[in-house]
Amino acid sequence: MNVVRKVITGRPGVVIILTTAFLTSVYIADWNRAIPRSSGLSGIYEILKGFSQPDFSQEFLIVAVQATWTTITFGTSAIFLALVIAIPVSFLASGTLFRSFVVRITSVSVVRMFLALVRSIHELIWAWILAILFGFSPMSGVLALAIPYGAILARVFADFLNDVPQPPLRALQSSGASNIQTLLYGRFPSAYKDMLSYGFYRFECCLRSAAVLSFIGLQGIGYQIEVSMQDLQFGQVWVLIYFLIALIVSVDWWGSKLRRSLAE
Amino acid sequence: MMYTKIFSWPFCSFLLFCFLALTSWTIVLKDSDLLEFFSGGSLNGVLDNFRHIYNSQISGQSDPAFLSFESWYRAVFLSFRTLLVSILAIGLAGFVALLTFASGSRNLAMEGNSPIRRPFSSLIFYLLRALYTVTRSVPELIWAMLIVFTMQAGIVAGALALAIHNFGILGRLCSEVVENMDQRAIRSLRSSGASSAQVVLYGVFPDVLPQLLTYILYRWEVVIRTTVVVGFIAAEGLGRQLRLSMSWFHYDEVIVLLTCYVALVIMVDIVSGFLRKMAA
Amino acid sequence: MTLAYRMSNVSFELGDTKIIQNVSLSVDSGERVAILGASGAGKTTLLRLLAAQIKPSAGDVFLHNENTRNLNSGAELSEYVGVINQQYDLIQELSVRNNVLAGNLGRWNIWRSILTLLSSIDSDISASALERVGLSDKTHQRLSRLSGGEQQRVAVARLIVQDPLIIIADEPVASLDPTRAFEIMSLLENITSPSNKTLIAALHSYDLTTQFFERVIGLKSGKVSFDMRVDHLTKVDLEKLYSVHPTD
Repeated sequence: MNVVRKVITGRPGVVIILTTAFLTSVYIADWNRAIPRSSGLSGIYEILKGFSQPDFSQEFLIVAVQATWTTITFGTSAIFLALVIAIPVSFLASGTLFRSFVVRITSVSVVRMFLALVRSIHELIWAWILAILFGFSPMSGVLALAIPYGAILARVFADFLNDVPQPPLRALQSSGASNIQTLLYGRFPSAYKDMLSYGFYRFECCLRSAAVLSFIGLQGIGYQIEVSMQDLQFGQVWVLIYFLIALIVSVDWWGSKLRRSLAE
Repeated sequence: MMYTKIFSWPFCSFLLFCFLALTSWTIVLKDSDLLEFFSGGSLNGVLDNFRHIYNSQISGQSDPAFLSFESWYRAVFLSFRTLLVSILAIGLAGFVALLTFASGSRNLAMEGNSPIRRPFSSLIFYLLRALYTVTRSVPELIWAMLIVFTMQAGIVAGALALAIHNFGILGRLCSEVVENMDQRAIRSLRSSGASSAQVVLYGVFPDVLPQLLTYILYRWEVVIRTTVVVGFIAAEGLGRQLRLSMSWFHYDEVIVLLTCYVALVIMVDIVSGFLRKMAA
Repeated sequence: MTLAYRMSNVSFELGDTKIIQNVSLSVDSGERVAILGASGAGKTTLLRLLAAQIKPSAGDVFLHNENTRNLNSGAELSEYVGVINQQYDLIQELSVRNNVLAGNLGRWNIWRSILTLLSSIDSDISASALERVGLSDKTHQRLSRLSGGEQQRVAVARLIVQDPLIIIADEPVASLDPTRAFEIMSLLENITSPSNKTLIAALHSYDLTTQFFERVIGLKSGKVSFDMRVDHLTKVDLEKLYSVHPTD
């Protein structure tokens, strides 16, 4: 009996639940609609033809470089703003600023709940809401990325700040440091490396999200892909995808290099 | 000494990042019409719309969507479809990642511990890694555009787009888990006469499975958020309806749909957190 | 002569276990007291009570005639007591200089502490403290690059900057080899005796106790088993203190 309970409530139980959920969804899904469009086969042919004949003409390369640069601008300004928001908010969400237990618990739960709510909405839904409220300007796009990314960063940074080793903090307090001084001299220096490498990982994600801001009609790689697809120029679509991959891979490489040099 | 200190990687990265951020912000500020932004663009239009909805309710013409049972019922049904897409997507991604990760790990592929014989194992290793990178780098939305171009929109199309992107992420994460494993355990299994398939089954799998489970659950939380957006393009579930309500300026319906969306996301977060604790 | 400490019938309980039981003692200001005892005898708890980091379950601890119940950790307390532990109480990612200047946090307001973190003001304070512990050349290194013995010197330098009346040391040399241990103890003596500061330290070594302290308190199962001048301490006392079964 005990064995059965252990199996059901432990890891095997999770595997069983996930497999069942997956199989159920496979069963329910409307596979009869999973067929090529009437024009689908020729569509696949077009895509493959584009793959074999990528458009590396000079005029289009200029377009692609411009689109990539636009995506970089959106992604970078968004993650920068997200960091600026996240650091002070993470101080609040870690609850380390307040000495009184009641104040600390209230601030932590209120701030964290707010962050969870903000995070639960996808950045493109944010983009769309902001675009409706404030117009379809680049500012809406940047804010749309910065708000949810800021919330994610703040949550994770707060966890990092909470998880630093305690003895050095106690020693700081015994030499008279207030809570905010302990944060500045103890928690923050101990956690900044983790914060940096996580922030960089999010930078990569943010660039990827910035690429699809075409969702609200903003320029960038996604926008150009849409334009080229409407013209059935799949040679151009592939070139744009190569640019996107190159961008993500190089930021990934930069990040791993940075992480390694931080670990030394 | 000082030279290497000043031009260290972290410092250079910091400078480069600051330079990029400043340039980017200059461009964004230049390109946005801030006056229009802060005067609230179409904010007034949205408010007018709500005033209109409110008035028509007062005069008894019609109830706003968030007061009608029927629109809630429909939104919950659409949420269920969205949940379905997300489970199908993450399941497909996890399943294929599970099949490939052993051949996609450098240490298994290069030391002849992959289920596939050398030199094919090296070839397949490079192919898989390239595949992980390509699928991971391209966002779900662009996959969705490409898929919808060739395939009927619907649950399967949406799930495929999400699955392709997440397959790249999960595959890479799992391969990295194997590469960071204690290599001695694998070698000692090998020297005790285990075949390569047995090495994967007994030496690698037990270590990777719990990690894979956690990653799958984490990614599921991300996927449920994205499913709605992919639904805009793949014409499925909450996303499709959001798009329709939006283009008809039915902001009362939009509120109902967004509420269901947030509730769905929070529910998935809770379930995933519970399952992760269970698997730990 | 003023009293640094006076405690009467002090107990400390954690759940059902009495870690400190009815301890009464007083310490003169400027005295150097070693506390000996097997691990689990309650040394760390006694020191944390003296440092006012925890409050007694029963009885009172008076620190320079102030009840520790009324002293909250922070600026005021840091003028009275400075603490040094067995390593791990410095910030690894901060520079040596900033770790030393952290001794001043009780006196500085928030803006001053941010300014010190970002600029190189007050370098003369850290420089003179580091010179006294023989680490002048390491000022700008990151702390994690220093060896265990060097890190412990940085902790002493921080105490020099903090300049409290009493120094509480919980096994300050536990993880160091005998030579380094001797150096650290000499430094601690150097910063306490000339300025007539009180030094209370938990130790494991007979040699260090007899060399650097004037009074020794033996702690066993949370009670004071002996309290005497160091010159009266015999190996027999020590054996009794560390024996598993009570011999009396």
